[in-house]
Amino acid sequence: MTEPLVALAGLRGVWMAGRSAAPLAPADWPGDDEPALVALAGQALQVLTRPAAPTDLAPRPLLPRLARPPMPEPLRPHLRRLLAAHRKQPGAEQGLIQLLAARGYAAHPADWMPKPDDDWAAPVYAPWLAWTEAAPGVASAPVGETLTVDTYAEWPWTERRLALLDLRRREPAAAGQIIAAKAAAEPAERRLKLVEILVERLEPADAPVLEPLAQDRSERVAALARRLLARLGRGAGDPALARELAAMVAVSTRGLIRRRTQLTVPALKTAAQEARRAELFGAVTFAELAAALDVEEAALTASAPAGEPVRLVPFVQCVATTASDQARRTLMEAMLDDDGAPLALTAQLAVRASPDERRSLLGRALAREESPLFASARVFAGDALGVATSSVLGAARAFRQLLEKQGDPAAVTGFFNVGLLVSQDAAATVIYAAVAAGLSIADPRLDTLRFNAALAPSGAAVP
Amino acid sequence: VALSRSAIEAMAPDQSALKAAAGLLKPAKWDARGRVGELIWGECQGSGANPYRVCADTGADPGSKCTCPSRKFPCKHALALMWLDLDEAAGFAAADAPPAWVTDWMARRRRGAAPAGAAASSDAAAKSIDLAAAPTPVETDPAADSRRAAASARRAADTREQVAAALDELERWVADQLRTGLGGFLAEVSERCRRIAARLVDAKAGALASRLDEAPSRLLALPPAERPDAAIAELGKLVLLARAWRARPDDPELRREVVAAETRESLLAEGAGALRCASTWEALAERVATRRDGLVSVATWLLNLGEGPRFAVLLDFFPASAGRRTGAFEPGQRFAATLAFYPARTPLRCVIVSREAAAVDAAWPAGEPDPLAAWRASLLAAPWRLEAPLALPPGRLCQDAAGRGWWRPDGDDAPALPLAGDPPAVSLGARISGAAGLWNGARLSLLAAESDWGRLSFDD
Repeated sequence: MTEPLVALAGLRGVWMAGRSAAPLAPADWPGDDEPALVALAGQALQVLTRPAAPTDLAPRPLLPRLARPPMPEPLRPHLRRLLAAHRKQPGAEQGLIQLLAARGYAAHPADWMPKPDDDWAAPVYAPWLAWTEAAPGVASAPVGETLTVDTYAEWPWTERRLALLDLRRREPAAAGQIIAAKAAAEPAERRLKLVEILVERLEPADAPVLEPLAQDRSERVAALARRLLARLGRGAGDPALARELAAMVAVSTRGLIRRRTQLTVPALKTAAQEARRAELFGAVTFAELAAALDVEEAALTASAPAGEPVRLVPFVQCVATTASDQARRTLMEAMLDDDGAPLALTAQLAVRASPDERRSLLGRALAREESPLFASARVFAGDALGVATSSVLGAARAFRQLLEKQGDPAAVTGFFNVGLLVSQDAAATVIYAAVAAGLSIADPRLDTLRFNAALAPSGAAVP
Repeated sequence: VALSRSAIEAMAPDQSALKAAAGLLKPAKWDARGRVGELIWGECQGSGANPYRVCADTGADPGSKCTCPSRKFPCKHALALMWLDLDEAAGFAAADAPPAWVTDWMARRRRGAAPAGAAASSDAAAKSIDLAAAPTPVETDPAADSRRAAASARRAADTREQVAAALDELERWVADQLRTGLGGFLAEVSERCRRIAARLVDAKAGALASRLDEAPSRLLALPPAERPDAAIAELGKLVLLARAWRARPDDPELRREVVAAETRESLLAEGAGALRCASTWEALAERVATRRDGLVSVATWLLNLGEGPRFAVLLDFFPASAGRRTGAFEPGQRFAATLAFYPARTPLRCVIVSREAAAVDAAWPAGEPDPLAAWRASLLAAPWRLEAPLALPPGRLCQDAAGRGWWRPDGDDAPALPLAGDPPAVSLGARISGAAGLWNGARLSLLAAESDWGRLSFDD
């Protein structure tokens, strides 16, 4: 320590205690003038000292570049504004990032980065998730390596999960083999995530992977595995439960020329009975119910079910989670064709549909949207955003309601959702229609539509 | 469609507001005027350092918003904007979409809140645009002028006397804090500073009182181990400032630090000696702080991309009751302007004299190899300074084992500097090619950085 710093340390000590600093002042400092002494000491401290950094101060690895181009620079402030304005709206952040993805872009990391629990984030963000989660000194995924059974342990969990998801989309059997070999050694939360990966491109070859998992010690893992087996037509539950449920619903035939089977979920006498039926719908698979009713699965899904929407929810959930893809798709189409079936219910059947399937049916879904909030259409669309055409939207009753009730506070959500659903051309058309209907061209409710209209596709292939 | 003359007259709070608006009708006073449909906006250079942002809806539900601190609604700037729309509509450039700050206002405005009807019913007849536009005869009375000058000189002498007495008391107060121990001072720093600050307010040393009011928050923001040295520096600067003022009470910088800043008019007056610098400026960041004296300070930090002082700051104060206020520039925005700097040993605070049409495209100047050299130089020139902007060379942002942020230079020429607050995640993974921040002797508050991920912002 240099001489002035030694003197300053002494002065600090006496001033903290409230003693006279004169005896400790350097010889050429005014020891008898304490204010002058503190002025000199303060100045010396600020000029002579430097911050002492820890010796092991080391930067983190550089944030990796993604395999997708960043969004256009001029639109970044617009995205930041939208994220801030809709931060309290559930699903808004997801929708905006998915719209970017649908146009072939990734967000700029200064505007948005995925959080560890953002399971909906596309696999393209895996390097950022891994970078965020990696503790200093923890190695990231081996560069250039592909995930295999042998390299599984070398990958950090986040990158491993997203790499598996990516592999599942490209080579479902290879991903299934890795899960079969490694799931048992993972803790329950991770086992559940691994089984969720099998939802993508589920095929009969996955049955041997799922069968041991259906006996898993975690009830959540086992239940999901059983539901997936049910979709493949495998697994056997308790026939007594299925029979009990069958007795609580009715099957009839409708139509004069084209005879079709229709399931009815009638009102029951007591709330306890209603609750029991809902519970049974959660325990019995769709195939078991069809068998107990002695009706072909295809026949049972040929027409929309009858009953109060609130009573139909457990049935639709049962189909959505346990029916084969064919049965789920048939029921979804039947419900889209039936004016009496609420879109909010039908949308539950679209959750596990492929993006192509959702895109192809989105026009019909929009025509059936009941609410100017367009919330059901958003659920139906999933991540298939930015594709609805202006003609499809223009024909939607809910869109006319939205234009008529633009003063309603809920119109904020309605215009936001429409802004995510429509194509770039349609966004411009919707803005004109809204202004023609009386909205100011500068109205902030049109902000998402303006963003959409300005966001040209990148031209890059969207994984 | 512009509002009619009668509608503007009806909206005006009084005839004097219309008269004041008439003085703002020269297009040269306005920048960035635009329109989308019935929405108009513009930036007007008023008495503040930042231009005022003014926008108005001239549609069926008229309304307006201005960032000036006037209590009149609509203020003269909003009236002038609507008036210009009536008289000189071609000066408003048609845009596809309004700027973000206009959209922000549209989102927050209460519909149907314009008091046009109420104003019209009260004294609409008493307000006239024609009358406001008529030139006002200038009356000169040499005797009255000399009386005013004499009164002003008396007031200045009186203020000097009171401030000198208060500064004597301040020095005694500093000595008392040392005599009773800094441990006790730090334990009740808010109370003790508040008391002496109140005494300084009474003695018309308002600027110094505000500085003392904010001292506790500066000290308590640091970890306890660093507070004794920070308290020594804080008290030492007060003594240095008091003694410097006693030596040169008419020094503009010292007067600004102790009493109050000069007005924009006096700064721009001939003979004021304000340094003027025409250049391209980049808005680095905006720092908004609510002070204990009830004022909100809005500081817009600028980086000079050409010749002259490297940094500048546009500083405005608003009463906290006036609601949310912001400056006129988005972080990263570049503009060409002539700035007038308040006279100072290291010129920094400034006002905009005029804005030029287009900013040139220029790169950030290189950072200093040892950024603390600028801090030491500024302390040697003006040892009472509390903070100084630094231009940082290439480096990285890091976190230590406790999670505290640091700026670390690439080379060994400069020391690593501890950061105030947590840096955003992306900045920890970015290669920083240059950065600007405010150093207060203990912590670096980053304003902006250029990196391999582009420009990075650091919000408060």
